[in-house]
Amino acid sequence: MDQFDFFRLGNLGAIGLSAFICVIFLPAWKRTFWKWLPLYFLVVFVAELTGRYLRLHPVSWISNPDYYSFFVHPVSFSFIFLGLSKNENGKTNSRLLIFVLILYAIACIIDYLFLKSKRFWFGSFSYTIGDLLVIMMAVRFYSRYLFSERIIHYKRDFMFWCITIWVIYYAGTFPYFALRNVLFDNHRAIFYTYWYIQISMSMLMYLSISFLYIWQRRK
Amino acid sequence: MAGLFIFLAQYRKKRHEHMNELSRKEEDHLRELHFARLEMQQQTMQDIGQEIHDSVGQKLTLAALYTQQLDYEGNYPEIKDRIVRISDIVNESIQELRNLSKGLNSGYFEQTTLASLIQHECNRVQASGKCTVSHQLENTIDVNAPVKMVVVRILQEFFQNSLKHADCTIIDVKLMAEQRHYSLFIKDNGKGFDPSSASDNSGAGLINFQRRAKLIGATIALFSAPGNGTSLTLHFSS
Repeated sequence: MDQFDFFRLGNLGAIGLSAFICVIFLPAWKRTFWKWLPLYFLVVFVAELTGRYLRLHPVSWISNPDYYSFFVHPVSFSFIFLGLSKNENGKTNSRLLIFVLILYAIACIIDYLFLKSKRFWFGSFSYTIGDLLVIMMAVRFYSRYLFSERIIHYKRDFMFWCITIWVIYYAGTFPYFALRNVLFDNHRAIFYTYWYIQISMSMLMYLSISFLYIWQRRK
Repeated sequence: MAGLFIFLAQYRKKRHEHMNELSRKEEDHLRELHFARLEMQQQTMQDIGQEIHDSVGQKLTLAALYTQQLDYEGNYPEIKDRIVRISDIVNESIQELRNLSKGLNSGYFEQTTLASLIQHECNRVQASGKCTVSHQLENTIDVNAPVKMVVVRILQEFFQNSLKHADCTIIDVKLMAEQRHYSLFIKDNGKGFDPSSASDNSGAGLINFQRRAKLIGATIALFSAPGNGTSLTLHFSS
């Protein structure tokens, strides 16, 4: 097991542990939207396990990058878009959600039909667009949050902290994913360093959210 | 970083607004509570007033009738003077009870103007012969019954303190109006006291004034100095 694999296993373990923690504390959240978080973590965990299997035992009908681009990432982004489209009153802004999902779906289709066989500066077009959409929705969330009464209780607001953690991860890793091929081809040392950073950030993101799930559970 | 600063600034602003709102609501709640207590007091007083008028008053009236009948029949000429005296005392008691009953009745506060209520109190003290009360009262003031009741109670307490502790000979009362803001000034020429070194009783009296004034959202100021008398200023509105 090389160092990369060690980090990949660490990430898988972090996701599994987070899923386990969230399942344990699910009853405290059963009246809120966040009751779906354990399911989301479980799906991501199973998807990552499958991705690992595909990496070690490639199959002819789907490549590992395609599996991530057209299955794991869409599932992941769909849940995050759903979380980010919530208004201050907890209701989903359906129009925004549908608009963002359509944009992301178009990005996936373009990626699948025209771009996946070509090599650009980004690793995955659809992921880069998804990443940008998350950042833009987070800006919308914060701009509304600033002027709402919820800001008074931000310390106890799970949604605020969860979105903040997502934003730190997606904004922090955006340069890596948007310039993945450029970094890999021309700046290999930076690429590897950034790879370690992004996978560590991923572990931290899942663990932080699961710890928040414990600490901010409804009494 | 800029976003973080904006967030923190906005948080502080919203929290400040929230705390102000909370304290305003708490004040409103307290005021409502005070008014509810005042209404209960009023109701109790009204009941006592009614009871005095209906029960004790009727019995005293009956006693007065019996004594007058004794006097009329003339069966006991040797104690005629005493019977007349008893009759007078009973009649005086009836009159005093009527006045007391009237004072306890909230309907009385509703129907009587603040100037008349104050004048009545001034006349009462003047009639006691203990000191001279001069008054200058604005007659057009229209405030609700709880406000009138609180103002009158403050006036009564001031009179009581002046007569009991100040050894005063003159009390001045002024009731003034400026648009919808009213002021009551009371001043005695008694021996005064040092408010900063007031005894427990005086301190409690001052707190009592302030508590009553707070009930109607009024501001109150009490000035006194040894040898210079005591004055009280009450500002209130409708």
